[in-house]
Order: sequence, then structure tokens, then C-alpha cells
Amino acid sequence: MSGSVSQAARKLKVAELSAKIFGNAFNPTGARTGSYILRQNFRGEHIVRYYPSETDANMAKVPRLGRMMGEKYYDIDEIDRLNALDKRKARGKGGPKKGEGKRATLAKGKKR
Amino acid sequence: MKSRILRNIKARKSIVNKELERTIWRYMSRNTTLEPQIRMQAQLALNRTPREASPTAIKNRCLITGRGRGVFNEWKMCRFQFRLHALNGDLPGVDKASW
Repeated sequence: MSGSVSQAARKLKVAELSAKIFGNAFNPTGARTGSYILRQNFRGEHIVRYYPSETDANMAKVPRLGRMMGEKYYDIDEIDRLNALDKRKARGKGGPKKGEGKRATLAKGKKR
Repeated sequence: MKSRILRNIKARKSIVNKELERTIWRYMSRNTTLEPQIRMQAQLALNRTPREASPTAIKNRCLITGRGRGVFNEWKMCRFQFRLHALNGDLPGVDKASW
């Protein structure tokens, strides 16, 4: 009987030594060490990459030729908007100036 | 819905910032070989980190409108924007079904 016990103890010792030699973890009781958390990959960078970065978004707006020539960034949508506004203003359809709007004139009338 | 998009971007950045800290707290709280008091404190610290820094709390939103429901992950677009772009021919390989 005592021979079998010593056999088990020796097996355990061998396992411990082999774990030491080969750099493995020795955990005979199977205690939870939480090592699986350390084995997980960091996925924060992947989560952040869901949205394109600001520079990428700006690059998408620049035409390819301009990018190759090394020109400055410019916003095509903004230029289009300003051009459209100028056209409207030339036809007399632009927005009112500061203090000449509907609300501003109403407020002036009340004060008087 | 622009504010929703900005909030989502902010949350995603906070996830990256807090990731290392959170993994350390997580490891300490799940490690049963540590003392119970230390594990308890690690769990409390994990609870104290903001909710938006948790990677499971993030939701994939539509890139264009910021809609949170009905988003195709493959195109990062909600169903209506997907339809508009597909009909416009902006999405390579997407065709309207007809038989």
C-alpha cells in the first residue's frame, strides 16, 4: 500500500521537474489562475479602426492627382457649398445679414 | 445623429486607453491563488472603470447616419444607406436581385 503512495508522490515530483525543465505551468490541483486572460489578444486597436482615422477621411476627399503632386488638402464639399451660396447671392436669394432677419426685426419692433 | 457617432468614437478610444489596466484587474480578480482581499479590491477597481471602456458595451453604428439598429457590419452602414449606396453603384460587387 505504502509502495503505491510513494509511486504517486514520485510521479508528481517527475511532473514538477519536467514542468520546470520545459517551462510549463505546474498546477496539480487545477486552481484557477486566470492565465487565460493573459493569453487573450488585445483587440482595442481593431475596435478603434471601425471608424476611419481623420487623416484617412481627409485623404479620401483629395483627388489622386493632387495627392501625388503634394498639394494642400482641401475640402471639395465645402468649396461646392460656397460656390452654390455665391450663385444664390448673385440672384438675390442669399440669407439675411446679421440684424436684418425675421427675429431680429421683431425684437427691434418690441423694444420700440 | 452626429453626436452619437462622436460618442461612439470617444468610447472606442477610451477602450484602447483602459485596455491594459482592465486586463490587469481582470487577471487579478480571476486568479484564485491570490489573497481574497486583493481579489476583492481588483473587482472593485474593475467596477470603478467607466462603462464605456468595456469592449462589450460598444455597438457598431452606421458610419454615415449613426443609426444603431439594422447595421450591416460588412458595409458599416444601416440598411437604408446600404440600399441608397448600392443603387447608386458605390458598393463594388453589390447588385439588385432580379430573376
